[in-house]
Amino acid sequence: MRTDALSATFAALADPTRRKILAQLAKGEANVSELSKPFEISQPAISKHLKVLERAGLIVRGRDAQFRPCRLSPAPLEEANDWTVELRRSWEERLDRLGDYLADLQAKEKSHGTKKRRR
Amino acid sequence: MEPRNAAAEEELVVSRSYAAPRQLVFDAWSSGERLAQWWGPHGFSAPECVVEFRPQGKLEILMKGHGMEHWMRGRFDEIVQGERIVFTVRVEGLDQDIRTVVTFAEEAGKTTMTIRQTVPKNSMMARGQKQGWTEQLEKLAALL
Repeated sequence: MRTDALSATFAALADPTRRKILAQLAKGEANVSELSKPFEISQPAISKHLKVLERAGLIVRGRDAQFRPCRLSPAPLEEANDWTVELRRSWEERLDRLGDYLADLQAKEKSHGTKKRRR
Repeated sequence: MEPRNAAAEEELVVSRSYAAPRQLVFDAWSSGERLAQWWGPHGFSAPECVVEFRPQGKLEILMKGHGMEHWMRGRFDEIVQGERIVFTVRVEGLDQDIRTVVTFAEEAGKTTMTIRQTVPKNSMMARGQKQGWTEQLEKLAALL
């Protein structure tokens, strides 16, 4: 199961600054100095947040040693969002199957009933 | 009693109407043999299904599908004949208990079954400011 990856995603998302960073990156890639401007916090603090986001797979960082531009990596976000969607979907499918099962039971009951009446 | 903090709890509500009498729908939950017939979901089977249909009785289902197997284990909290079933389970590997309330209502020959599932406070889903990040996540999802 992908539980650990999902936990990392949720832990990373639990912090409001990190969510703002993600929202910022949703507009396009940016480097640490560009990202630290709107937040009024130091670049090292931003870098720490970026490390958490990177470990959770929510962002990827460029190789350019000086600028290391960050960009959003949407897959874990989609997966996290999917978790509730997934839960709902599995219930919908389960309820479909229950419908089939109930129809089946009733059809059997009915055919038994008909036989009895004919006797 | 403290009012329930809606923001700290995730609630999922799914409802379905069946052209079947209430007792038949209710009974679909009442044994492992019956539950295994429909527990699925799609692509999953329930090769092992332990249902001790009484309060504090076990509810243990092995879900198998997509090359994976995982157990869901828990207990029934409450059973009201024909009306209401409450159980709390934990899916192996997820660090959270999920409480499910199932209610049944019959009207004009149709039975409506409603599933309410809550993920309690301090669970993975509720960690942090849930409402905040859900909104944020939705905004982000819209942008992606």
